[in-house]
Amino acid sequence: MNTYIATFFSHYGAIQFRSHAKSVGFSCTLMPVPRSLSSSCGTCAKYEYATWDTGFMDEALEGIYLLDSQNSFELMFQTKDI
Amino acid sequence: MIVTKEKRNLILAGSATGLIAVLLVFFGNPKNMGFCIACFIRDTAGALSLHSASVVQYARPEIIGLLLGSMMISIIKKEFKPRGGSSPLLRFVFSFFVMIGALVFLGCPFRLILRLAGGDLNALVALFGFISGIIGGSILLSKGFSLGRSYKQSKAEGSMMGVVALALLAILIFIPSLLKFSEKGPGSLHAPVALALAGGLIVGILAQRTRFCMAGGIRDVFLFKDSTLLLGSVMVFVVALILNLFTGNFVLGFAGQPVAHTDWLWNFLGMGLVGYGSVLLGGCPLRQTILAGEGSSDSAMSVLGMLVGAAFAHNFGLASSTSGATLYGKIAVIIGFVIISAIVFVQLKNKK
Repeated sequence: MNTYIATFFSHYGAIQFRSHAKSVGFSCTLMPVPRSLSSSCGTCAKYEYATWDTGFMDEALEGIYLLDSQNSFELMFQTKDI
Repeated sequence: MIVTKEKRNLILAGSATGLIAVLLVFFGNPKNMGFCIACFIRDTAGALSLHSASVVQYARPEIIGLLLGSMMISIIKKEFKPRGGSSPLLRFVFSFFVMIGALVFLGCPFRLILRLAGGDLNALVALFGFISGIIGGSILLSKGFSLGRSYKQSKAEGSMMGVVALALLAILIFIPSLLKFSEKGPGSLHAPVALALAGGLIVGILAQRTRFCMAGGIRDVFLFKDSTLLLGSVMVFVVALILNLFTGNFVLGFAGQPVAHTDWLWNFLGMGLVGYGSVLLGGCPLRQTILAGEGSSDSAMSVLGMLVGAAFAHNFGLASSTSGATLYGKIAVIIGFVIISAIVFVQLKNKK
């Protein structure tokens, strides 16, 4: 199980992701986006899953990062439209 | 540790911002108004003859500095991202009413902190209103309210606010006869242009780097139990308070405070409207200004909404004076709550 951070274009996108996590059944916490990931002050979702792809497809999804044991981020997915 | 570094940066940036705010008052800005985004946009609207209140007309270099500082540092750090299209006209309307609320209270959230640090207890009442507004707005965000996502825009679109700021600076320096300058009142009190511009540039850079936001700080505590962003505001308060105590600018009380009134209900509701609108917009007036510099045309619309709101506030007698809130100002605050709430509830209903 890995820890990922998903960033979104809107707070609503993060809420939708949380609902998705609930229906699929994996743990997910909403929190402010870490500064090192974005200069926006939006909401991100920290979640535990085997791979970054949880089957969530929404235009509000901006990017997904793998959080490693040194607390650094590795980009897994980024939407083309940014 | 990422969080610790973020907190450290916010503590440093908040402290520096508090210091600069007190210095700007020392060098000429009105008391407890080292920075006030609402007041300064209002003064700038006056300088451009968008309203004719002769005591609040001055093209504040601090606003120009904030926009340019944010733009420069975001370009250097490769964070300048032209984007927009997230309900621009709704953002204009929300920001219009944020400005009305701020001018009924007589200050934006930034000045609220500085007024508190100067001992102005009316600001404490307003703080409760601000927090209430933020909680109300945060609940609606949690229920699914959204202004929609933003999209990539052209560089021309993203940099236009910076161009406007540069043009205003050029006019202020080279052809000031085009602008109005207050001869008395708060608009006549100001630090020298170079200092005010430098103060704006530094705070613009710091706020861009740290995402400093008064409304966001309280929102994060309420939504996520995360106090990181709030640290910036707390440090502005602490540093400004200490410096005010040392320089004799701390006067505790309700009555006789500089550019303030004691109409507690309207201090509460005015700032309540600011909190409510700001959290739905995703940031306080300072944050909107910084994001506009970073290339967000949505936030540029917010700045323009505030500019027009300020002009309306003075052209139609909505802004308060030191003797209190006006009848029209009170009505406008209520209309602001009703219109913003109506937009939110229609959006939420359409989502179901």
